[in-house]
Amino acid sequence: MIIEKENVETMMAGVQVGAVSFADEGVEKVLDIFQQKAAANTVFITTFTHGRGLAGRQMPGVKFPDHGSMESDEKTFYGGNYATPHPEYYANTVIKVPHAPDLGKLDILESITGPAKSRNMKVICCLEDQWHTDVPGVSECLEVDLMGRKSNTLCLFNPNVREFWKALVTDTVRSYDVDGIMLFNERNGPLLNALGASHFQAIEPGRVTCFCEFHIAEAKRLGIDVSRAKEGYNKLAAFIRASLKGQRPSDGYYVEFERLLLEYPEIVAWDRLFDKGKHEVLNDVYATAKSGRKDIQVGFHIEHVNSFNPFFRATRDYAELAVKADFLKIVVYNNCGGERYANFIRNIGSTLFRDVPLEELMRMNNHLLNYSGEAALDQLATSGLSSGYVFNEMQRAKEGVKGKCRVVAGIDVNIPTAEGSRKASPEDTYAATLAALKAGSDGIVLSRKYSEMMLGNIDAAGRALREAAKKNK
Amino acid sequence: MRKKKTSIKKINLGAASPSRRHFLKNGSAAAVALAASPLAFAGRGGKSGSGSGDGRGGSGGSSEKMIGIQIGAASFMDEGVDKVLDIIQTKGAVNTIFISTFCYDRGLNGRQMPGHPFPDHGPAESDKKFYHGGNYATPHAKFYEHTAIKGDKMKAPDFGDSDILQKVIPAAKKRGIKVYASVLDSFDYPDDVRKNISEYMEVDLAGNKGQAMCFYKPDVKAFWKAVVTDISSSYDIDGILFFNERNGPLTNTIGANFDVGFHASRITCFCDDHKRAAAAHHIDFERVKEGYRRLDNLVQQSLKDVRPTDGYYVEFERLILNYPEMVAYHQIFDHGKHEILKDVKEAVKAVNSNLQVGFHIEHENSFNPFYRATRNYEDLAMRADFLKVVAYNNAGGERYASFIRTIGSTMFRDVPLEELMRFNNHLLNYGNEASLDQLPNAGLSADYVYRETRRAMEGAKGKCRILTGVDVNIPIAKTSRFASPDDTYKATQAALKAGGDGIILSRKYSEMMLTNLEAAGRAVREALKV
Repeated sequence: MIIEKENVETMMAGVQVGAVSFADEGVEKVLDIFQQKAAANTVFITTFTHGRGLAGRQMPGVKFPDHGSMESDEKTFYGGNYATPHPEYYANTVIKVPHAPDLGKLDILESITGPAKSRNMKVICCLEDQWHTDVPGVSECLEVDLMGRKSNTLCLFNPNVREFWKALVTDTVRSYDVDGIMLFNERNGPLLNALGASHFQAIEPGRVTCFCEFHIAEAKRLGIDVSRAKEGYNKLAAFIRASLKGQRPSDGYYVEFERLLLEYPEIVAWDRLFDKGKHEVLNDVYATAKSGRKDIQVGFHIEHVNSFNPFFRATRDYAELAVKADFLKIVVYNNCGGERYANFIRNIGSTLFRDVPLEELMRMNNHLLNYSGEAALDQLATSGLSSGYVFNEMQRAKEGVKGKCRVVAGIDVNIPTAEGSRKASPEDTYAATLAALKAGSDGIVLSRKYSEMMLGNIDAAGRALREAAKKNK
Repeated sequence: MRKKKTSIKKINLGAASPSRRHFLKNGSAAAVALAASPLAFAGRGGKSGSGSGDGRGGSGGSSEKMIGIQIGAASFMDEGVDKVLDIIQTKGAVNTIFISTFCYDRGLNGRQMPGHPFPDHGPAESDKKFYHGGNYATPHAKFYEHTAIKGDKMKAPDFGDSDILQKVIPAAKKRGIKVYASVLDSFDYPDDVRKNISEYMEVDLAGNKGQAMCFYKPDVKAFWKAVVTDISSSYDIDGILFFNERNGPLTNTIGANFDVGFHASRITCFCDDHKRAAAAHHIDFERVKEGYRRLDNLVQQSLKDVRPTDGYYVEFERLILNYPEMVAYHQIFDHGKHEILKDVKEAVKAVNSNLQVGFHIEHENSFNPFYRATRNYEDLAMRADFLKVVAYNNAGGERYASFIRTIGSTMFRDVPLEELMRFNNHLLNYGNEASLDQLPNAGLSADYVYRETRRAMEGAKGKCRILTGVDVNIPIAKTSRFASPDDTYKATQAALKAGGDGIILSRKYSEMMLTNLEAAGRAVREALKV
C-alpha cells in the first residue's frame, strides 16, 4: 500500500510557482500543466520574496527548461509583494514593501485564485524572508554583524520586523480567498553561519549576526552575557580563520572547537537566541493567519540543512514544530542534495573536523543521519542523493511529528546544480516522488519553482502520484 | 631540611654502565652534580635541587629528567626498603619514588590486584584478607582541626603502626632518590571508613548517598588541605602527586570512560552543598535534575536499542541543547575538582615553597575528545609544578576499546564501532593503531605515547613540567596482551623522545615485572646516555 486509502482525496499535491510563470505562459495553461502533468491539486504561489529561488524565471546562467520564456529576467527581476499590499495593514511597521515592480501592475493572487478555484485547486501563498536593503524601512531593521556592520538580513527581534510579518500575513489572508500560507525562512543562526555549516554558505565568521540593539535587549532579558557572546564569537572567528590556514591546535581542531563552546556557552546560547526569534515569527504567523481565518492552513518550509547537519537537526524537533503548524514542507531535494551535502561536508571538514579525512567524515555523518548507500564524496555531485534518502527523511518527519501536523515532501524538480553535477532525469523525479509517498508523506510539493522545471520531470512526478493513488482507489 | 647532596657511593647505575665509568673517571664537580641527579639531561642547563620560582617547579631543577616510579607501602614491607630501592635504581634507572601515602585504591597500593598473576618479585600471595587502605604514614591530629573529617583516624591498618614515609625517606635520600607522596581522592571507601564520612559523601540523582566525597563540602575541602599539609609538614618529602580520576555527571551518565559502565548511581552530586554551588553559578538546579533524568532515560533506552526517530546522536545533542544546565553542572564538577587542586598546591607551598606539586591527568584525557576539551593543559600547567600525563599504552588498548564500545552503545549507536573508532582516532591524532577487535591484544602503540606526550608539552607551553605516565604491566583482562619488556622499552623510549621532562613508571611496583622495569631503565639510560 503506498497511499493510505483515506488519504487519497486529501493528499496535498502541490507545485511551487512564481508569478512570472503565469505572466509568461498564461494562467490557464500553467494550471492545465499542473493538473494534467503533475496531478497537482494545490498551487504554492510565491507572493512575497526578493529572492530568485522561489520567484523569477530560470536562474541566470542556468539552462532554460522546455517551457516559458527563454529570456533571462535578470534585468527586470526585483521581487516584493506579487499581490497588492494594502497600506492599512502595515501601519505598525516602518517596513513598506511595495508591489513587486517586475510584472507591472499584475496582482498574481487576483489573477489565479479564481481560475484555480474553478478547477478545485487550492492556493497557498509562499512568503519568504528575503530582502533588498533598499526596500523602504528595511535599513532601520537590518541585522548588525560581529564587527558592528549592517548586514543585508532583518533582525527577527526588531519590533518592526515582527509587525511586518504579521501585517503581511493579515493582508494576504484577509484580502484574498487563499487556502493557506507557507513561510520560508532558511536563515541560520550565528554558530552555523560562522562555520559555514550549511550547504550553500561561504565561511565568514566575522559576518555573523545579530548584535543589533533589539537582539542585545532580548539577550539581556534572557540573562545572556552579551560581551561574553561577542568575545566567544571573536575567538571562534579566530579559530576558524586559523583552521582554514591549516594551523592545527595542539589538541586537535575538534577539541579546540568543543573547548570554545564549553568555555563560552554564550556562543550556543546566542545561536539558540536566533532560533528563538525565528520560531517566534512562526508563532506570530500561525496566530495571525488563524485570527484572520480559522480555516486557513499554515505551513513552514523546513530547510535542507535539517537533512545534512546533525547539530541543526538537534535544534529542530519535529514534534515541537508540528504544534506550530498545520503542515510542514520537508525539504528532501535529492538531486541537488548531492552537491549540497558534499559542500556541507567540505565546509565542516575544513574547520572543526579538519583532522578527519573528508570521506570518513561523510561516512560518519551518514551514520548519524541514517543515510545509507549514498555515493562517495567525490561522486556525490554527479550522483545526487538517492530516493532512499527521500524515503528515510520523510519517514523520519512522519514519525517525528507524531500525527500533530501533516508532512509534505519538498521534491526536487530540476533545481539548478553546478556545471558537471547531475541534472535530474524524469526517472529520478519519479523515484523520489514515489519514495516520499511510500514513506507515508501527506503530500508532495514540487520544488523550487515551476520556471526551472522540465515538463518531463513534472510529468514523472505526476505519474508517481497517480500510480500510488490508483492502487488504493 | 632535606639533604641536597648524596654520597656518590650510593648511586648505583649498574656496574656495566659506560656512563658510570665515565663519571668515576672524571670525578669533576659537574660529575658530582650529575651524581646527585644521575639522570640530568645533558642538553639542558639550569640548577638542581631547589625551587626555580619560575612556575615550572624546581626540586631537581628544570634541567633534570625525572625518572619516577609509583609504589605502594606493601612493596617496601614485603621486600624490604633497601632491596626495593636497589631494584628500582639498578633496573629502572629511577631517581624519584612516588609512594602511595594516602590511598584507598588498589590501583596504587597493595599487592597485585586479586585475580591477576603475580609479578616476578614480592610474595605471590594475595593481600586481600588484610588490604584496607588509608594513610600509610602517620596522620597527626593537629592538622585536622579545621575539618570534621578526622584524618588522624584514617591510618591504614594494613601494616600496624608502620610509617612508610619514615621508613623510606632516609634510605631514599641516601641514594639521591627523591620522594614524592601520592595522595588519592578515591572513588569509594571501605565500609568502616564510609560509615565515618557518610555525611560528606556525594548524593546521586535518586537522592542516595554516593561513594565519593563531594568537593563542595567545606569539610572535604579542608580535609584535603589537611592531608597534604600534614604530609608536607611532617616528612622530608620532595613533593606531592595528587590523584583524582573521578568524572563529572555528564560523562558518567553516558559511561564515556573506559571503566565506568552505566551506573545511574554515579550521576552525582546533588547534595545541598553542590546545590549551593550551582546557585552561586546561576544554574537552575531543578532543570539540571530534569535534564539528567531525561539523559539517563535516553541512555537506558539506547541500551535497549530503542532508536529515537532522529537518531541517537541527534537526540543526545538535542537534550544537551535543551538542557544546557547539564553541561554547566558537569563543569562545576570540574570546577570543584580543580579548586581542590588549587587548594592542594597552596597548602603544600605554604609549608615549603620548594616542594613540588603535581597532578595525575587521567587516561580518559587521551580517549575522549569531549573530556580533552575540558582539560586545557596550559590552564592546568598554571596550577601545578608538574603534570603526570597518563599514556598507558598497553592497558590503553582494552581501555580505549571499552570507551569506544561504551559510547558506541548509546549516543553513537548508529555508527559501526570500527568506524567510530577510526573517526575518534582522527580527532585525537592517533596514528596507526590496531582495529577495534585487535586493540586489547595489540595495545596502543609507542607512537601513541609519543604523540600524547608531545601534545601535553605543546599544550603546557613550558609553564610546568610534563611527566609521562608509562604503563608497566598494568593489569589487563586475561584475553588481552601482557606487555613484553620490549613494549615497555618502546613506550619509555617514545616518552623520552617526545621531549617530556621525565617519566613515571606506573601504576605500582607490585604489579610490575622486573624484566619490564629493566627494559624501561634501559630505554632511560640509552635516551639520556648515562
